[in-house]
Amino acid sequence: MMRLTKVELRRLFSRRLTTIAMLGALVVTGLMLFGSFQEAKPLSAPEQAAQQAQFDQATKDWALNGEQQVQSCLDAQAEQQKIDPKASFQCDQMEPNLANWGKPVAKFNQMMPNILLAGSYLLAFVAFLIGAGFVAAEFSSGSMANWLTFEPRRLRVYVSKLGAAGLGLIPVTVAVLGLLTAGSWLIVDHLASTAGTTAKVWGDLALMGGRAVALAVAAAMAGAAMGVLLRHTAAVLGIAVGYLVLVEGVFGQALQGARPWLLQLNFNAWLQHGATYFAQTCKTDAQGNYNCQGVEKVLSFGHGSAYLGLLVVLMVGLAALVFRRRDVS
Amino acid sequence: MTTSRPTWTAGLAISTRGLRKTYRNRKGRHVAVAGLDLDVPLGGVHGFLGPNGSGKTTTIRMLLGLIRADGGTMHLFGTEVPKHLPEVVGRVGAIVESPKFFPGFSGRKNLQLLAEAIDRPRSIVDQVLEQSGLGGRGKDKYKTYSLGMKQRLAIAATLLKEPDLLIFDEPTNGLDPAGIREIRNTMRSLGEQGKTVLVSSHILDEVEQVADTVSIIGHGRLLASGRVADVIGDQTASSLRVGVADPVVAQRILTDGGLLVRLDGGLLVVEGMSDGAEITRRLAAHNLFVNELTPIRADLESVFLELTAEEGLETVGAAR
Repeated sequence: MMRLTKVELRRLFSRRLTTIAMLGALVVTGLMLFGSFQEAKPLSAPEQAAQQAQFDQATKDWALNGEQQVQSCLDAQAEQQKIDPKASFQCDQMEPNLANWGKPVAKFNQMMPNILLAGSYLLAFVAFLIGAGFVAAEFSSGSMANWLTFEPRRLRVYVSKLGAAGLGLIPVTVAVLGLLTAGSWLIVDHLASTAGTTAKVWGDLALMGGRAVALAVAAAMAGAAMGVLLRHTAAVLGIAVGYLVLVEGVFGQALQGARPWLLQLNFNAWLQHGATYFAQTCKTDAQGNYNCQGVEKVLSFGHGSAYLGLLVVLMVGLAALVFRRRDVS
Repeated sequence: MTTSRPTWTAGLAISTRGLRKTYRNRKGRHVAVAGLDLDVPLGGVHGFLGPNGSGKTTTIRMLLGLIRADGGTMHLFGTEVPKHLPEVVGRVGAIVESPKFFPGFSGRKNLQLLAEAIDRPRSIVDQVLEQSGLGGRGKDKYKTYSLGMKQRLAIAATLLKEPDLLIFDEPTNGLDPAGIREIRNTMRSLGEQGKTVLVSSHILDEVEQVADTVSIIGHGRLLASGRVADVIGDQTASSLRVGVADPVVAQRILTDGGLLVRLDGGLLVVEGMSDGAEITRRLAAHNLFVNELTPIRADLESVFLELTAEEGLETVGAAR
């Protein structure tokens, strides 16, 4: 089994699609680091001068009209509190403050989770593509039949292919995430602030990175399983893109209550150790008015991991059954 | 599974009994192999002859575990397959239909992967590339190979295992004359080395040229089996085409002599006679001199039709 997996790993990294997908991932990583640079970059001297001028003007205006503005704010707040007693317009925070003017200083501990999240999505997609192409190409080229005349034990062949797809993605994922993290750290440390990046922050980032690696491995195996089922890379990609557009995009927007059963939110719940989302709750009040309200809900880490785990197990299991029984031409 | 008949006889490389396969699709059922009893003796070249769609490729695929049989038993070297195929697959090299490798990899890379999968040393790759005449092109991508080179690479791949049984399915399809001759020589040479070579073909001449023994199948069933000379020889040269200055008179003379003769354009066709000297003698006795005398070789279709007629088989839908 190990020998077969080693051979499959060699084949995986000899494939042009793998090389292209990895280069693509590197290019997108570079673009993401450029995004980090743009976010961390402080304002230029002319921008800072313009910011100071705007602040000075606002301070002058406050000195002249501040009292009146606060009073207007309090009046409006009192009016609103007749409907909603808890309403607060924060009228005591209206005085201009230079810290609130212009661009805030970027902080590594706040930026990095979002960068990791985006990187994880990228890697999951690349892994799925590599896994699907890796196996589907064997069917479409007909070389699967040739391979089986050398090793007819189909479950071994299947496990070695999925294993290679999953294992092969580990170093790629670790390298890309490492590059993203190290690059972002250097950029933010040089241009903005890495203060507050405690051991706990690093621990959380490491755990998130670990989950991103696991997600990429699962995506590669799911892609390979889809490759077994559909036998053509284009068919796998077509179904994947169709699902993303129709189900995640159109259906997910139209039926927000169904979002806990869609991929994206479960990806977020897995990667971020729980995710929040808004769902519209509509009801008719005592006066007969029909009102809708956006209510924040939480999708737990347990839900996300169980959902994704079950999905991968089902796909891999179904593909194994099909591969074991189906005629190979 | 068939149990009433013996399932395997010693001295056979391949043995099937009551082998059946039916394809089912939206258009309905299609019987590809209908109770095939096939015996391939150890050593030498065995022709597996049948028209296109007679079930040859399906049988080979079932032997190699690529498709499932619906019934019957199969043995390779006495080992029941597909149940115990892993135990014996190392002794079997096969090319099923056209050669199929990874198009983006070089010939050498394709072979290296296969060699590693069966734990063969890397050195054997160069050895089989040389053996199959691809030594200089091993580094080139498979997709740049001509059909003949692809076929040679496929043969090289089968040799990685150093097999005792080689299965070639329509190996000369699409090849130019030089390629055909080369492949036929390779098969003969392997047979002479004591290996068992099963070559499936729909070309009668090919089987006659390379095979020692033959099995003819039609509609998924065995029609005839035995030594090539016994099975095909009887069917192939039993008529003569005769050219003579006055074919009408010649026809009368030969017909009066008890022969079955018909006019075919300006020539005569003498059925059931393969002795050209006798024809010449009879006509010369009447001062008619033969200017053309050609044995008529039956094509596979004729042999096949004759055998199916003998078997009393109706023509049914062709199998794959």
